[in-house]
Amino acid sequence: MILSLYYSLTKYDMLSPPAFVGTQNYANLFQDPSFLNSIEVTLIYTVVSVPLGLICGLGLALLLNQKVPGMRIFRTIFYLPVIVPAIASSELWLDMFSPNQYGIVNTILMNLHIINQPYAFFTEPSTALISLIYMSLWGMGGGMLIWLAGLQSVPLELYEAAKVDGAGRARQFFRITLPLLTPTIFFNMVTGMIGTLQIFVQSLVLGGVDGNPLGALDFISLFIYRHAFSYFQMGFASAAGWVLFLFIMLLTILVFWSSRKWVYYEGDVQR
Amino acid sequence: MIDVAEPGLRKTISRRTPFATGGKLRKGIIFLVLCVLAAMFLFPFFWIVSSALQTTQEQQSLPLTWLPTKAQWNNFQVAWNTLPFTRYLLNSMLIVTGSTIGAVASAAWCAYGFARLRFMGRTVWFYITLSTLMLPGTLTMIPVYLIMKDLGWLNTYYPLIVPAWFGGGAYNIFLLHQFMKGIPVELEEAAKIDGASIVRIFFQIIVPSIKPALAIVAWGTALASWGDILGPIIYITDANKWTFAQAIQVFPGSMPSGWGSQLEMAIAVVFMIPVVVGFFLLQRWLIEGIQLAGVNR
Repeated sequence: MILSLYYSLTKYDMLSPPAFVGTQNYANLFQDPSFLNSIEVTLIYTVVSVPLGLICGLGLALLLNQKVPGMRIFRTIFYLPVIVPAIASSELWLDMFSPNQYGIVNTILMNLHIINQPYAFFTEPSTALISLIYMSLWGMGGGMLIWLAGLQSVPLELYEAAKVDGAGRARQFFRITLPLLTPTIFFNMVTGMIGTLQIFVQSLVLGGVDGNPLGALDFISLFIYRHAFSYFQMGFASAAGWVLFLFIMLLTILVFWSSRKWVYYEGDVQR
Repeated sequence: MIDVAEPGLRKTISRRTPFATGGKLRKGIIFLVLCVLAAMFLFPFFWIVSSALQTTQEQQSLPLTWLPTKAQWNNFQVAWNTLPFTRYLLNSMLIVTGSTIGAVASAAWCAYGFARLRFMGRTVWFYITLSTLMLPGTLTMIPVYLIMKDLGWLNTYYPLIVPAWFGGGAYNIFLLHQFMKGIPVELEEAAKIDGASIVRIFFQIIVPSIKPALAIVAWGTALASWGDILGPIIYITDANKWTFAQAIQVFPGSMPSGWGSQLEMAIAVVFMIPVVVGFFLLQRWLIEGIQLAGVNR
């Protein structure tokens, strides 16, 4: 870590020894439009896909928590995509999302008359990120498992008491379930954020080393990789790594700090 | 149960779970919704297998072929022989085995240290270890790469295996630590009185009681190592030493002429088989363990 901080202050191409340049790398970074773009892409992806994944995962868990037959089988089915390695799932979705009539998703949507023209998916800058977010939802089963565990730990007496008081389903959900689930929300949110901020494999497979189309899939991790191992700008890339790290730190601290206000721990009541 | 005279009220109150026993209709609708969702989740799996078994002509004609008229099992053979995949498979297996054993062994030792042994600054060290969870892999990647280069380890598997032997990752240590905290100390104290050494206690008391957690760590490490491409593309440039995952990444560019994407799909299917089989073998432990890790926070 310390080493990387040092490198981030140098110009180092691995041929000649590192030359100290101070904060020059950082200054260059923030003047580099492609870096600013990668920050934007990464942030949009995180801000959209994390809450979306949380909500959908919770919805799925709520449905599964209804004691319908075959719950275990459904749970396995929804979890299965999570274990598929990113490299395989990216290739698969790239194929399913082919931008012409040969793509199965386009075929289905056109047969259902939801769209008239084939959708561009990963080949058009305006739709690539949306497609990736959609693809990421396939893996929401991981969060779902944890939601399910959280739901099952809510004491049943509370619901019974609420029912005696005449509280409806929606009210029970917002007044009992959700407050008691806040630690789970917190856990899923932090792990989800750390994961999405570091997304790499998907962008490399879907968009190549430049994060095509036109940088729409150029995430910070990919930016760092490209500058370190394609252009051998080790110092510059280290600086970008530090910016990413500070980003993650800042967001995590923000979430932790705000968690005092909204996360409810059962053990805390007496305090 | 609250004693209520009115029969209608009693019925509602005795419901076991909050949203559980609505009318039959409600359950039926939920079941249907779940079925539709399950079909959507499973569809990509269906599609990858179906397209892996199609002929090039079926792949390239409209309307799309949903099911091949005759399953082309030969596709798997052609795909497998396009690149030396047997070698890549062996390479990957070597790396996965090496790093998994390393991660399980060293994470268990570290967690044991944090959970049971008393030493200076134990809590602080534990938090420092945990905070490395936030370190992006891409940040440490560069200095680690330069160190590996100085060691002359480029184009070898050491960079992909050896780091796992140093602690096995913060998440694994944390997970095992939580499990070890749940083991009653009395057993160990009794063993200590009988003169058992720390090493012996570790192997005869701790390890047997955290087997499910060890399975989770092994699974997680193996899965990450099997699917890793960042590590291999940085360190392994020699085409003979490529890993399976790395080869898949370059595979679309080395397609033999006259073949379509069914070969890509076929290779991806082969790549997924060990993962899916492993998951079903370990399923019970994994699902429980993942849930436990989430709730314990």
